[in-house]
Amino acid sequence: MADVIETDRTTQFVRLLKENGTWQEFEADWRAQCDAIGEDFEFYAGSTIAVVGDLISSEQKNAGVFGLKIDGSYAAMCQINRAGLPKYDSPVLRTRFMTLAPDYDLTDKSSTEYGNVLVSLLFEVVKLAITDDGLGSKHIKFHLPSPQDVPFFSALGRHIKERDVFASIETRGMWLYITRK
Amino acid sequence: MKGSEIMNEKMKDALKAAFSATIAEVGIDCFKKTSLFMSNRRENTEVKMAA
Repeated sequence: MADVIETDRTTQFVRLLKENGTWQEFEADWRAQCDAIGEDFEFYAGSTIAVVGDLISSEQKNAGVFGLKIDGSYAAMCQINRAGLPKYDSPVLRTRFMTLAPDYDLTDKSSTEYGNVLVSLLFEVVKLAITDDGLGSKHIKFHLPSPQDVPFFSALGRHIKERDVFASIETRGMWLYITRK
Repeated sequence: MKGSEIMNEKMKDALKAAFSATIAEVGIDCFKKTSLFMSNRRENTEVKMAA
């Protein structure tokens, strides 16, 4: 099972776990980002951290919390799990709690910087679905928990579809669905 | 370059181009309203609780 996937010299997708210190590194990084901006870390991220608690305590083959590290700093995180679902011919990789780092949330970044984070995050999840023993899946779903996610991700899905890199991609309800070729 | 690396580059380039096209269509403000931003997620929760 891949714990760290290097996409290039500056980007890594890291499985966050307490037992190897990666979670503590992630938390310290986001706490420092909050401190630099004058935001309270517990107020900022407490609710999300609470829901991923079980997954960072011990490594699970079919689920995990991952941090996207760019240039040595954690730029985003998400929770991923693989499960069999009704109406699917094979297990589905589900991505939830996609969250940008405090520095991207509380300061203004350029479109290029936001694009780099989101593209890297989507790319790394798809790469896990292709290469990881425990998380490998033909079908991938990204949760869009807010109605305000739908306009952006619907447009993104259409523009990705035009580029013909997946067998299918569409938004339905509160999810973005991808099936790999 | 290996075949898998070429595929990775092709996919990443497609995602980058799609993001740029999306921003050109809907604007960066549409992106900044998504739940990717913790501030928006917290705001939505507070609105629901207030209701």
